[in-house]
Amino acid sequence: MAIMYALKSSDNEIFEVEQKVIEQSETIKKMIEDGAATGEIPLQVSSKTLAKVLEWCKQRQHKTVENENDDNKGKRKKERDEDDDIKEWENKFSDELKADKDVLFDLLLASNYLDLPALLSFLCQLVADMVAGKMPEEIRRMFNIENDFTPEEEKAITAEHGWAFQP
Amino acid sequence: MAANWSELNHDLLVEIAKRIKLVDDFIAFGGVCKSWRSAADLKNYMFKYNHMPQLLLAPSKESSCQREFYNISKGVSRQVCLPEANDKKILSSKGWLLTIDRNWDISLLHPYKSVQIELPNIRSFEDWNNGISHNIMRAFFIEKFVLSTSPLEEEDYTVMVIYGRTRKLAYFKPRYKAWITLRPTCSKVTMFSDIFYYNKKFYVVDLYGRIMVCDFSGENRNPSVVAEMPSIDLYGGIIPNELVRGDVLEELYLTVVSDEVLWVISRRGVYRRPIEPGSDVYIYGTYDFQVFEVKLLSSSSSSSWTEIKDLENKSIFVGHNSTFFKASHISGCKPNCIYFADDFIESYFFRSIEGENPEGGGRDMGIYNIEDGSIIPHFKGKSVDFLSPPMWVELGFD
Repeated sequence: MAIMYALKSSDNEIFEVEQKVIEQSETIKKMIEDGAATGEIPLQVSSKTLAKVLEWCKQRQHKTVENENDDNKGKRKKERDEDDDIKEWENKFSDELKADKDVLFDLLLASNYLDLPALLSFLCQLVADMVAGKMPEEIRRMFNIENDFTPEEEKAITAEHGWAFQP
Repeated sequence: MAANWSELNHDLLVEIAKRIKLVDDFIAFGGVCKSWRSAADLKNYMFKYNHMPQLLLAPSKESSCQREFYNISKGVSRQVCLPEANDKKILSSKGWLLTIDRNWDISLLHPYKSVQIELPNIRSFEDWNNGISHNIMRAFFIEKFVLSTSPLEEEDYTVMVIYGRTRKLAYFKPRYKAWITLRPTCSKVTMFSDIFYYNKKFYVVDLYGRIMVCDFSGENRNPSVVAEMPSIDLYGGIIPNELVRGDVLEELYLTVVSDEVLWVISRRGVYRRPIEPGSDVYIYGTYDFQVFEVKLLSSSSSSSWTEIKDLENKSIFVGHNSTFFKASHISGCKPNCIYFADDFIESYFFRSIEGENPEGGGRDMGIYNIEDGSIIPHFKGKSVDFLSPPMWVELGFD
């Protein structure tokens, strides 16, 4: 019987989660070890974001368990199929985040706060890929960022790296 | 509440910046807003030497201070105001230029930052020969220039050059008053052809196919032999069969892939040759390359040489620059190709093309595909000069 924990989001929603899944978070793992996690574990993460975090953790957990159960026979082909499955899952996950940048933003903060290095790395790479090939103005529009450079600064930047913004 | 991406904390922005591969994207990232700019510090740029190098074109006749950097993957060029390079012999390494002026003064020049560092004058070379002091001989005196690291990154950098008629090796380190000539530990005659810096060592190859190492971590920096190209008698099959001057090869380049694996690149066609047998009209032009993988066997101080037709998807850049290679998937260059520029001074200096007086180097350029032996052009315009023919510049962005 798996040990379950109850996580409480900042907007008071309760998530019942297996210990193994949630222990990927170094922050929560430490809370459990320190004995601070009796009853509900309160987290400074919204329910919407926490659901996404758990979606990620479950997928990762799923992958680890399957690998443990494998024997060597037929493993290579299986691994290849699994890699395809994971890629597909990750693409879908990325697409959802690209479409809702507020969730992406909150998820970045949450992965940092919960100390989930694999998710953090995945999200940073996602943002890096999103800005690739775009001009500063396009990036600002994409993330709804205000241009806070003074005209002088802007001029200096353009002069310094003028060539980079060539088509 | 909507997310405020300009207030994302600095550490996370740095993590994002570190994952941006292309320098154009990295710079655009820093142009978004103040907080993003603070994360786009060049020290956070992790793919510094991986992008497409640019071709520094020969100076144009019209303008003396403007120079053009041609981006062969985009097909566009960018003007840079570079009066410091005017009327100078130029060589390039790690994004820096070595310049030699009419007074034989030598400098390092960073083309984007306009940073200039004075190096000792050519007269400080040990066997500087006044007999060749004619101004135009600047084109010949230093044939190769290699920086260990960018002087902006590392204070204790080293500059290594191949110089003089007999192609010797000399180096400079900050605060030295003169160039120091290095002598091979073996007593054989050498004429150096290329230098490659790797892991605190300078690897050099001479025109007899000998590879030597100058270890700069210790006291004795003189080159000692670590590998020799097998002799023709023993390994007739793998040696270029058209040897030009006795047992000397035409032109060799060197790259170091790892502590044990080196690639020696042999270029053929750079020597002037009669357009047809008996003719006194000469031509030159690269028609072939061969790449040998040399494995250093430390146990027996011997080496194995194998010709390869696959550069592990890398591409090699050769010319008046220090030889380097790029992983094609990041830089956007074609895999398993040799991008070559014109660097054989003796050929482009003298009358070489039918019916024309020499105009300088810049004709013998192209992209050689090692898999099928084909050659295609990379720059289609005309760009020629004696002192500064087109050459590759690795943009270091330091």
